[in-house]
Amino acid sequence: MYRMPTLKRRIKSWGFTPFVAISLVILLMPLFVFSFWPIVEGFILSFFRGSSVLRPVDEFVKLRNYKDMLSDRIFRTAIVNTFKFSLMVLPMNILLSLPIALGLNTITRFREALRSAYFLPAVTSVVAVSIVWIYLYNPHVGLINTVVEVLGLMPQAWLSDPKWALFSIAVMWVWRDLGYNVVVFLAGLQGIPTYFYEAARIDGANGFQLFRYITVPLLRPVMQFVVIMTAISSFKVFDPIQVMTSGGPMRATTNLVFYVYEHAFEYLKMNQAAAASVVLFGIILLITLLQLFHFRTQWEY
Amino acid sequence: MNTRSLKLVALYIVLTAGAVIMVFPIIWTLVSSFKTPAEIMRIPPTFLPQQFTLRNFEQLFETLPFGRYYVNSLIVAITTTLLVLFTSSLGGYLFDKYNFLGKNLFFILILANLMVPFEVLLVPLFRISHSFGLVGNYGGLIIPFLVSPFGLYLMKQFCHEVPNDLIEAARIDGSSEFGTFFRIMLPLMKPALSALSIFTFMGNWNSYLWPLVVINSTLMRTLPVGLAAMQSDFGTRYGLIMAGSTLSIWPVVLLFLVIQRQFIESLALTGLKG
Repeated sequence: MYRMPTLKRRIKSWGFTPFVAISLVILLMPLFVFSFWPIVEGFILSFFRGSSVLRPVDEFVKLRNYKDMLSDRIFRTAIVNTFKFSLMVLPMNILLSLPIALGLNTITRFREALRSAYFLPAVTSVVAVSIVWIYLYNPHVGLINTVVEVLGLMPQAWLSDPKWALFSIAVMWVWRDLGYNVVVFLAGLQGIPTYFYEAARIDGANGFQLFRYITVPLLRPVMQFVVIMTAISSFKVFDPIQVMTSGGPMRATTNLVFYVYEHAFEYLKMNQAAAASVVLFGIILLITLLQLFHFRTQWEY
Repeated sequence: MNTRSLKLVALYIVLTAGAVIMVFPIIWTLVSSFKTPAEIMRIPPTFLPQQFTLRNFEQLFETLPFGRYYVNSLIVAITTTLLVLFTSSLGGYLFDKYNFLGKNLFFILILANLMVPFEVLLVPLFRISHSFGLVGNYGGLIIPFLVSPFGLYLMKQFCHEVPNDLIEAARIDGSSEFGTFFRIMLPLMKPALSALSIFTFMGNWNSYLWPLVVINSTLMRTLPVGLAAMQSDFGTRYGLIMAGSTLSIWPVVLLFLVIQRQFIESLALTGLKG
């Protein structure tokens, strides 16, 4: 005679043994509380307004936070600075890290030692090196102006001049971040089979042709990865801005993340900060999805 | 010399010059921290300290709870790393070797977190941590980071290499499911765990934004938060600041120099897969 399966048996047939169930709870509980829920709450907060920091969901205000934000001059500056910073960092980083990786790929002796030297800044604390760079950028006793003067150029008040502040932070950021891309490019170059080069050489290709017709196309997936990752990390930069310039002088270094931080934790405008976070999320998500889509279609060679 | 070897020599010179520039600020931090206040402001600057002094380091511990910052950072980074190693290996094992209803959905949900940058969650995460009483204590620095989607993904890739027969054999020999995980899988995952532990530890040791907002007292500050506060309080006392930076940077630099090869190779691997 057919018997209805008991709930216990059915659960077991779904694969939820005690081990699976307990593990899932251990993994999903923290993720739910500290990741999924904040995403949802971030959206909710951005459409509400509250009476205090701890009660930010008193009144549903529809798009008012977004409207206020868009008419805020500082917000527009922050958007512009976010992209400006990326446009400074990205070319500097790629134009330095790719030639370095190509050079390291050519040599055999001391390759690992040199690679480690280029990578070394990447293991340092951003805050610690930021305060070191404040000293390096000091207009009177800093090493950078000393070098600049020796080269016969004009010394600058790097961090306190609105013309130079964002660029100065970008230089420091490239120095700190370069090593990652050197390592990834080098790994990509070493992944290209040598018989491609040998075959082309037998066919009479010269050095430039080898680079143009073998290295460049085969390195393209790695290049895309590096560009996207570098762009995303430069959109999110916060530590050196907060430590070195606090978003100044005259807002010259205020970017989106700093805008979010400042509105939430200094001006205590949680709802407007949440709205700015949604914009930041949108920008980064767009780039990430673009990359996922691109990778799917172009990965194979 | 022919042009080929001449080119190679030039290449070595350029690469070495670049490497020196990269390493220089880190060495500059170290040598500057042993200079007297007068020497550190001298124009033109000296490279090696002419009058070697440890005064900066003494002052660091006299005027600030610098030792406490250090201990805070160590406690938080080590605890977080151990917990992340546990949850990542458990998750990797679970999602690779088990089948259960909704497995793929759960896995995609976890991976989707990789697309959400932490900075975006800052405001709501602060509110949630506050309502759980996690503001201003170690819990607030550790608990929100218990599960790492990246770590879980990394460990799942690694578990895939472990043959299913091994787990089957353990089961037939009467090992419980928990026993199989702790006694068979965990030891096998050691190489991947050591790579993950380095990334997690360094990321945590250097993290700034979250500790900055979640810590509200001097004594609970982690090293980066303490250093940044020192910078705004002691502005131009560069000797003191360089001493603090040296103590933050150099232990990690030395650790890196010991394990550099393993570190970079696992980075290149995970970076490319990322």
